[in-house]
Amino acid sequence: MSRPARAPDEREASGWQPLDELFSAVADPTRRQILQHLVHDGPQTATQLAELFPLSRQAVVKHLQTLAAAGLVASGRVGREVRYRATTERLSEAVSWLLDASAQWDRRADRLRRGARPRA
Amino acid sequence: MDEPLIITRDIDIDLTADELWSLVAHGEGWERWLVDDADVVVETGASGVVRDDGRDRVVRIHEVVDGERVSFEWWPAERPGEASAVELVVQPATTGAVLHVTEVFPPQRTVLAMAASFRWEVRALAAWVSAGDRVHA
Repeated sequence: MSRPARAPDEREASGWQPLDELFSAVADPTRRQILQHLVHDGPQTATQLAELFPLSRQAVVKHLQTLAAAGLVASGRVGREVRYRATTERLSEAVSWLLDASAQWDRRADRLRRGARPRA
Repeated sequence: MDEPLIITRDIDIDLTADELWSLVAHGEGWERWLVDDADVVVETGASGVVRDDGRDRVVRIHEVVDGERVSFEWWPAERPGEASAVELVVQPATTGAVLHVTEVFPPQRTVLAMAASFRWEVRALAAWVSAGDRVHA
């Protein structure tokens, strides 16, 4: 997985944030999906992320701000762009596990909604 | 983390409550959405094995209330200390039906599960950051 070099003025998430803020941030399915995109695809702008979701750029920025407040995302300016990246400091095993456990239910819900018809 | 971790979902679906119940109350129904394979009879007190996301899980049915709810415990076959409790509740809705899902992870077992699950993502992140640091250095 490649990753661009960090911009000099990139702001790093630092310091301690309470777990409840973290769990609150990832309780929202859209924020979990945004976070997963940043984890798997690397840093992206809010505009790029907004293309992946049925959301306005402003709505995506708001989600990113919530994730940043929980220490899960950091932003950095590259030229005129603000790029967001997932931060490893808070992406502990606990969060990875929670994302997985929660995402599994999202996948099951999708399967139920999309394909499940009881057999005659 | 002293509190149990609880995951909930309310799934609105375009099925009647009876149709939805048939997907909740039988192993064959589980295979349509809940797990990949299910070798379990969904009856109070029954046990079985399901294959979920490529891994075997042991299931013990705690209670079945006909037409309403199924509750069970399940755990990875190789890690019996990581049991979680699941409740599936079917309710009719104005249009279709709703499946209320609750999965509860006891605190101690949550910690164990943390240590064992999805290390790959953490490793991938570590590699990602390491690559970034080398570029930056």
